[in-house]
Amino acid sequence: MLKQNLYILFCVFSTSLFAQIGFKSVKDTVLLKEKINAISKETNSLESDFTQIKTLSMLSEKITSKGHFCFQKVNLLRWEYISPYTYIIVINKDKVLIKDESKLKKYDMNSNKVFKEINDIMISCIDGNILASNKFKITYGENDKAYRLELTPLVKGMKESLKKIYMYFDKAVTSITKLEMVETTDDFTIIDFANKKVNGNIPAEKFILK
Amino acid sequence: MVIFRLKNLYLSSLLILLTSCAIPFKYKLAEQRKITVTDVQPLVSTENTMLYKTQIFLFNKYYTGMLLHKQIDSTTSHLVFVTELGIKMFDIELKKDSVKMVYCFAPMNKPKITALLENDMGLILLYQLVNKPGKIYVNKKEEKTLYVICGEGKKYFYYTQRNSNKIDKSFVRGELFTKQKTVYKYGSDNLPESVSLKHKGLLRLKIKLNRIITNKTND
Repeated sequence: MLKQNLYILFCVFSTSLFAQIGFKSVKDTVLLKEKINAISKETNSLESDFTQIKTLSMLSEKITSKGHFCFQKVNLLRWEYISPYTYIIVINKDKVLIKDESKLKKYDMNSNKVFKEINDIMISCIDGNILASNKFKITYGENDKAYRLELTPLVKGMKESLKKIYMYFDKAVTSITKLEMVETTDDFTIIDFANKKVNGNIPAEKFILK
Repeated sequence: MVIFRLKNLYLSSLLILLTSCAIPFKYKLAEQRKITVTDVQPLVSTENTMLYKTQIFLFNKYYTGMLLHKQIDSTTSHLVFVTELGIKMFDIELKKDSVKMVYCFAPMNKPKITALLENDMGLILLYQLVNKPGKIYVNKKEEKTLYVICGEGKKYFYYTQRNSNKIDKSFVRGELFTKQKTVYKYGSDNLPESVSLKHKGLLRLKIKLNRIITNKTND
């Protein structure tokens, strides 16, 4: 029994240690910032498949969703979930359009503060503008495969809900590869982007729901 | 003519008031005792995690996502609502006799909202019925049962399905009007496939739940 407990303790510590040493501080943060700012400027559209895993830490439970995502400058976003059920959410400037089965709902973004806040974070993470935000303290990490930006919320209202946001970029810094949001309850959501198309042609209809 | 119309209005209002508070005539009082877990079909599984596609209309706001129910130990379970984008909106801890909000997303975390969600989630899960003293009415012809619970100035009416101990619908009535109505539809495993709750009054809330059947939610 003691051996088992020690083994579990070892696993826990080695995992957390690995997480910390997995990414070391970036020496030349100015260069990395320049690269991210460059992709932010150069990226006019982004299309990708995604897998989203929500981990409820206290319950040891995971909820997996899959779908397709489109982003077009400025402020056009489409999340299309295909699993565990179909659901489309489109942000078109300050309008939110939701298609749930055959029902269509339209909202003014400014009428729902919660939604606006979540959307602002998501879009600024994807287009890279989050670096210019004064709502976060940002630290830069890297390993041999990826860069990781660790964002700590500074603003009241956000601090109560989000502990950290991690943004991952490939070493060539072409686009975001993974987004991780850690809540104050230690629940976290990881969104993995795959099959990305940068600056492809996205039909305007993708951001209109009827 | 005006006086005649007013009288008619008063009489019809009184009639609606009286009939809305009355027990349907087909139901006869059978016994009066504490309602136990064995009287009604449980609405949650203690063995498997249950996941529901969820729509919540709260005042003039609309939230969608997934509601997850998981049993933690023999006495505790949790109801967690997560939006499609992965933001946890609330986490309610359910114990044998208590429904307690343990987490609520900051912009939603207002005492009136949390109390409303605690109350109505408890209502969906029959917390105002089980282990409460009540009256049991039976409709022999249609083989249905009606449980009536009184408490805190409200009356709770729970109707079962025909020849079954599954709750079909429930109403909560205040002193004058119906405040909440909940309707259940069941799947082949005797657990609710869909649940809809409508809360009238100043604190308006609508909850629609549709079960997501997955082989495994814990990937």
